[in-house]
Amino acid sequence: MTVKRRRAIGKWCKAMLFVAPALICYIVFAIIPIINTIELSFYKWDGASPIMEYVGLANYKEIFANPIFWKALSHNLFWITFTIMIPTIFGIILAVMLSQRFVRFRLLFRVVFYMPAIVSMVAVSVIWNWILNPEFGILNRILKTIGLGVFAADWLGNEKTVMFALLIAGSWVHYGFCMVITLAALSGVDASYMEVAKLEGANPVQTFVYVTMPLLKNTFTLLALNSLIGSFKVFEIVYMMTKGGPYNSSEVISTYMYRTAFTNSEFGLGSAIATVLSVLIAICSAIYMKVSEREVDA
Amino acid sequence: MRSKSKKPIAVTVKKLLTYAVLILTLLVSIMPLIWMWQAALVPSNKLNVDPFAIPTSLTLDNIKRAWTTGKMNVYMINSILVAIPRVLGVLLLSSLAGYAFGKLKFKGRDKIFSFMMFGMMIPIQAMVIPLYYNLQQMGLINTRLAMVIPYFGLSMPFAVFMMRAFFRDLPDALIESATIDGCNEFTTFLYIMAPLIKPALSALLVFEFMWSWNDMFLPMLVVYNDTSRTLPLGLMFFFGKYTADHSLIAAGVTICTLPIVIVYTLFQKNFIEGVTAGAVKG
Repeated sequence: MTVKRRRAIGKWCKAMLFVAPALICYIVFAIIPIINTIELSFYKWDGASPIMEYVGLANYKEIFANPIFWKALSHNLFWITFTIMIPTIFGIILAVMLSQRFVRFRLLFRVVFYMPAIVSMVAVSVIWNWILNPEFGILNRILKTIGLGVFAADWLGNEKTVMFALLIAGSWVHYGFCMVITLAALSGVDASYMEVAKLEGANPVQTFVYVTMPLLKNTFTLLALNSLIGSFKVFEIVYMMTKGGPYNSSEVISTYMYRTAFTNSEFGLGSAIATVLSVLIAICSAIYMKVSEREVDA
Repeated sequence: MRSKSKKPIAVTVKKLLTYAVLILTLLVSIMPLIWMWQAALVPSNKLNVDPFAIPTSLTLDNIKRAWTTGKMNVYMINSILVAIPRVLGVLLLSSLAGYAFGKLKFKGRDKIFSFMMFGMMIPIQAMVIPLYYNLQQMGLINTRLAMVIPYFGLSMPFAVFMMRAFFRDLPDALIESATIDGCNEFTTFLYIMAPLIKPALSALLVFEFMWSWNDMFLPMLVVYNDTSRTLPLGLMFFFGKYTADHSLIAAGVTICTLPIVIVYTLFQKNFIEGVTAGAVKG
């Protein structure tokens, strides 16, 4: 009994030697900061003074009473809807097109379609700032060339167009990812299910409706949830291109949090915003994990 | 009869349409980058007249100017000096832990693993405020280290998840035979298992490298002086400082994007594998 037990302990200690370095770093740099953020959200603190005043839920009350928070949240929701509708569906269409048997240069297409996703968001923002520039931007020039000059606009400077302008830049980065994921899902099917469908005597239309479509439905759910999480996190592109302006017309939760904490030095309030954001994302992620687990099992 | 004569036309239309969409998307994907690279190579006096004209003469002056006057050389070195330790550290820590979670049996294994996966659900925004103060207390603000060590923890959930998935798929018999041959847990890991997950390691390597190379949010908060800025931070600073100097900005973007595009093109297979493994399995 004791020998067995000692051996088990020895085994556990040896395993821990492998796990501990990662686990300790994770606790120090991820878990403890999360706990501190939640803690801080109950205080009023300017980041510098030694006094932190406990205010209970006042920070949360202040956020929920602030119209800018709701505006920011509505922009996140708008971002989610648009991202699911445009780059996600477009990415799936691209993947379906690419996996047709007659398509040549498949590798070239795939590599280039995913290229926008590997470039730094700072660079992406600079590039799109140029494209959308009211004076020399290529978009306005194209519009003028094809006779639609009346639609030329100061895309990022106008409260009405700024979200669409940002979303186009955001979509440019995203469809490649959606395509890669769908391609992986499709290739898994091609090999086995398609053969079975053929042996069962299904025609191409039936194969598409009964084999490819249900599969794409699952992939779509996965991608949509992924876009949902990504849309809550969106920061770099908005911060770089508009800083949430003009007049908060492109504010999202993370730029609002950044400004509150690091520009206005209201760290308690900023922490409360971060906590609200995390709860929203955690809920979406939990659903995502459940769905993708089902994917793997299926 | 009719359907037979109609079919080839339908097929041709379908093919044409497919290629039209694919080629158009190809252009949309790459042209913005090419415009930027080209703008960096056009003499600056010509660029300011017409930033998107077809170039007639090319020069490396802008790149040189961005490299020295714009301090892109410093930023580039910082980016490399941040990426190398970050990638190696994450790879080492996550492969050790991933091996234990995937292949060893010990009490509480699944609980500890779930605890680590919890981190995947939390956005970095929820950690940055305390992280900033912790790094400040450690005296690391404005150092390259401040952009490296937090990721030994922050990158762990995804990295461990990926490593575990690959280790788990290796047969147990390998460990058994290694043990019979006189290996202990550590030598089994080092000589038998680690070489077998090279594809996973390289997928994680290119990914972590890309994240490090493009990282902006945390670096932006913990580094604000010129000597420690990485390329994205430098470019951001650049963009604010030289707004009117289009040639210099284009050169900055080129220096920032070209290396990662080259790395991506060379290792595209690993990139794609990494994306797929990360999204479908997780």
